[in-house]
Amino acid sequence: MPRYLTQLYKRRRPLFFVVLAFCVGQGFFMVKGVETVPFFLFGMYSEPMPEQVMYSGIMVEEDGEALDLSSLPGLRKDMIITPVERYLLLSQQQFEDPILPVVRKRFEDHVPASTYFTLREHLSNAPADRPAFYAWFRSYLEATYGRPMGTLRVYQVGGTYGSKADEAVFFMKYKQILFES
Amino acid sequence: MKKAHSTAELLWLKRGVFGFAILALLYRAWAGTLLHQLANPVLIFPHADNVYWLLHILQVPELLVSNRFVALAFDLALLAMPVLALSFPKSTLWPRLFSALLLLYFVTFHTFFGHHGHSLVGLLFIAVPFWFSSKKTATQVLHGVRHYALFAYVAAASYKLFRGSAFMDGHFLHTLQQQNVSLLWNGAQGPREHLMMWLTAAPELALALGITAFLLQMAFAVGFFTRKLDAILILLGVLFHFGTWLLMDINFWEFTVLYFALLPGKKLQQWATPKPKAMVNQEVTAGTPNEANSASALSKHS
Repeated sequence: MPRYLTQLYKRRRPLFFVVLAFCVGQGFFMVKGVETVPFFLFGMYSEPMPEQVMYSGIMVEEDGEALDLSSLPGLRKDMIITPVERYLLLSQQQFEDPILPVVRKRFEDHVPASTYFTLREHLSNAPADRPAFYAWFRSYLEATYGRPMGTLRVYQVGGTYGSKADEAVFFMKYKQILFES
Repeated sequence: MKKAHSTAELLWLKRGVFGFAILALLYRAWAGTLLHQLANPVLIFPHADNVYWLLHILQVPELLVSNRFVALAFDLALLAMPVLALSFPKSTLWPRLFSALLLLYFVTFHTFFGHHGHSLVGLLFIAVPFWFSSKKTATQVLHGVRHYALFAYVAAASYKLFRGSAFMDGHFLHTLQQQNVSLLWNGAQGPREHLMMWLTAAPELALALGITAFLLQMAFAVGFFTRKLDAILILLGVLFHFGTWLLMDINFWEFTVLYFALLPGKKLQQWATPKPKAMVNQEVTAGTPNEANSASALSKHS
């Protein structure tokens, strides 16, 4: 890398400064711990993961039967589960979007009130979004399975891993409904 | 510094990169995750990313997904860009437009997805060298992209090292267990689930796999010192991504488009400038005295 930069400096100075600026920007955002396109942070499951008291996940039932999401392409499965996981986090905070303090800090005292409320609306989620989210969830599942869906219930489920007859098994401990659509 | 790639080499790379881009977009269409397929999602997750904030303030993601025809037009335009880049290889316009539209897709998809993933980051960066018509500039930017590819893997390994998870007993196993919970609850009993439950009963093996993943990523540091092992790094990268797909259902194959920047120069030269058949036949029939003439003719050609 130093050799690349040195030779770039000697032969292509404008490009050198662009690359240097990118490196400085990347370093800055890595130290700050915040990602801003195009300065990506490749943390990649590096946060230490101790044994959990409870492992929780999302379960979707249609008319009382669990949908087998594992049969879907990975990205489509993730597009079903990940927004629900985010919904769960919001629900646990009474739908007070965790981004609001940052929005307040950046804009509240610096722009007119009407502008601030518009910015807040554009940058965060609100309790009023819940019905639309449930409707979206149904639409996306219907598009995924290519058919009208029955009653959909989404649960947060939790359990632990253990062993039974010398085999590892997963024991469900709780099942809590998140929403119905 | 290595001499600039030839026109033939850059053309070969361009075909590879934008051919890969078409595959990635078709995969996303198959997976139902192009914008017109998202069914007008509602909740947004810009996190603390200023670019996401700017686009949301301008309501760009909302505009792109809220109307099915707008979304479809956008997706068709996005798919058309790599096709046009391949159809008009001398033009730098299509790669630039591709990058712009891909960036919009990237932000729009991830804000509604709820997680700012990185699998498309490779395409964002590898397209940049083709913005430039100058072979020297394109080559030097490609070298920069090569360093970025190395950095991504080494950074991922370094985070594990500095956060203490690289050699932490149980880290990889518990990560697997959390990652796969939603599948277990949904009744899945496929190979991945069986493999995970088997690892639950063999935590030492899970630890070994976690350390292996760390070492596979850290191995990319070698690339900062020599280009001679780039082919091996590509193989290690493929092994790493196969392993994370197998164990954790992580679809990160789109990121491997960056490996085009790691292709060994001699191989690239061979693939990009195959010997003309007539000259090959001359070498075979005439023997040694023609070899010097053929080599000289080829070097003039490239």
